[in-house]
Amino acid sequence: MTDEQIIRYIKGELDESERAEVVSWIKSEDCNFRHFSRLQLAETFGEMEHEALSEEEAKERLAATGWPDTANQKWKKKSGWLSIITRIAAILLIPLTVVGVWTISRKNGHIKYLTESTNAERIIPIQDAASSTYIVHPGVQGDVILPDGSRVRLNSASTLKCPDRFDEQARVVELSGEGFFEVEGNPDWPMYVKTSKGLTVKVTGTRFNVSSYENDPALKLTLVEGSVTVIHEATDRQYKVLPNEEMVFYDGRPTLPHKQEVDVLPAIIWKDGILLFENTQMPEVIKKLERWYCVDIIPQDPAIMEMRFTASFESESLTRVLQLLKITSKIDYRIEGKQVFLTR
Amino acid sequence: MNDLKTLTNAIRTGSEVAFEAFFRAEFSNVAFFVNRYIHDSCQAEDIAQEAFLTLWKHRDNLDTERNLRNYVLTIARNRALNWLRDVIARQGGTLEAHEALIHSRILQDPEVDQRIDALETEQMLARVFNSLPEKAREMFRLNREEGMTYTEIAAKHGVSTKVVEYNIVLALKAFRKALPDPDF
Repeated sequence: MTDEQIIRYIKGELDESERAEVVSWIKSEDCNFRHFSRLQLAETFGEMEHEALSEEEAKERLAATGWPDTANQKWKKKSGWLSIITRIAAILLIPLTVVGVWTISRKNGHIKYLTESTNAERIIPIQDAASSTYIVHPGVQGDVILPDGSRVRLNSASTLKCPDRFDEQARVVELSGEGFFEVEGNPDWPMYVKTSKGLTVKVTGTRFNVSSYENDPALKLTLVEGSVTVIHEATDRQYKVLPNEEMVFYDGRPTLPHKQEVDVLPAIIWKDGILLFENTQMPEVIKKLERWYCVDIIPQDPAIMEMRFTASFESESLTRVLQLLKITSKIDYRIEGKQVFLTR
Repeated sequence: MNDLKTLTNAIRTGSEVAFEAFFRAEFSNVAFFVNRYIHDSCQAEDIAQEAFLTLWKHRDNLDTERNLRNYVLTIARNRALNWLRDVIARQGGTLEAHEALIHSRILQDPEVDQRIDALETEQMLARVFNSLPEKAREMFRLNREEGMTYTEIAAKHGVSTKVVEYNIVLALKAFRKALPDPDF
């Protein structure tokens, strides 16, 4: 493998079979990967002095994106009716089943139920509130945009509570369930994600996934990018997590977290609407399916719980998933309304 | 340098004209950068466009101390990473997915951040260099790029070595003044 060939690859000049060759060379050894990395840097940053666009080209490109109308969209941090619409309208519902229901509740516990009948409809609340709780029921996922522009995608059966306006010292939100966070970077304005498990995640600008379901025996934090610190509230102990690391805190043993370097994709792929099982134990498979499809799954044979399942689904119906389960693991199913019975 | 801060401030306070000027000047660079990592020029242009618009949307938070180019490249880089992850998830097992995985890894390398930051420094150095008086510029270049000694340069230009030294020092002082790094 010559440098010349690698550079041609970087410039996109190779055909498919040549590309495959380069890829397999890169993957074969660590030092090859590093060498490729160096050349990539040189070929990218050594050529970053391109011509400016002509005036017409620039205008054309911007016009294609809706400019200058997009110029008037801005995150206004005022309080009042307008900011509520901006904030609440930022929730987009992605139903995984036909009917999804979500709610907004005010601080005093009064709950307003809103039903959406079509996909991804924007819903406007009735009243102002000092803070808002976003509840995502089983069977749906939801996106929330926080007052600072950070984004959170909430998985089924999750709740996120956040204030209208963030405090000047810190940005504090509360999560129950699972969320994928993309936090706007600001080292002087940290964000704290409190969970119901007595653990708080502190970040300044990162992308990470937190899974903290009440009915799961652990809290799982997967870091994609940036850096986070997990704080154990009772003891004030702090644990640092680095990119591509995952830390698991077991209920009852929170001061002995388990940390390892992982491929982050499996932990975050839910946010792309993909249900992924990788040799996953049945209790977890069942919990995930219950949340995703909004059903109760009742295994009628205890041996089922010892089994494992590997598969990935995207926009599949529950029946399809169960069918696959039946074919691969010989677990039979019977659906009765919102209940699914599993037998062997 | 002053004009970059002015530009940043102008964009921050909502000047569409300033934004358009910045877009015009830097779009090709950003698209090029993204394309180097995703090998899809159409998508690279889309991502670049989105990055500029995101910068505009969050213009309230623009820090005048930070380089605009740095900003938009960082946004573009994050979006490119998202794109690569999509490819991996949706096309798992194909050559494209393997390539995406490799590119995703190298794009996350901290070296990329350093290089993005370095662009600002390089830009500044180039600017300082170009604004040096001709003699100083030439003598500095002969000394640093071609490795000529003061004596050799003096002979070439028909002046004394003292003159050469004076010019080189002039150049160095200009650089030192421009760079915040005291170790230079």
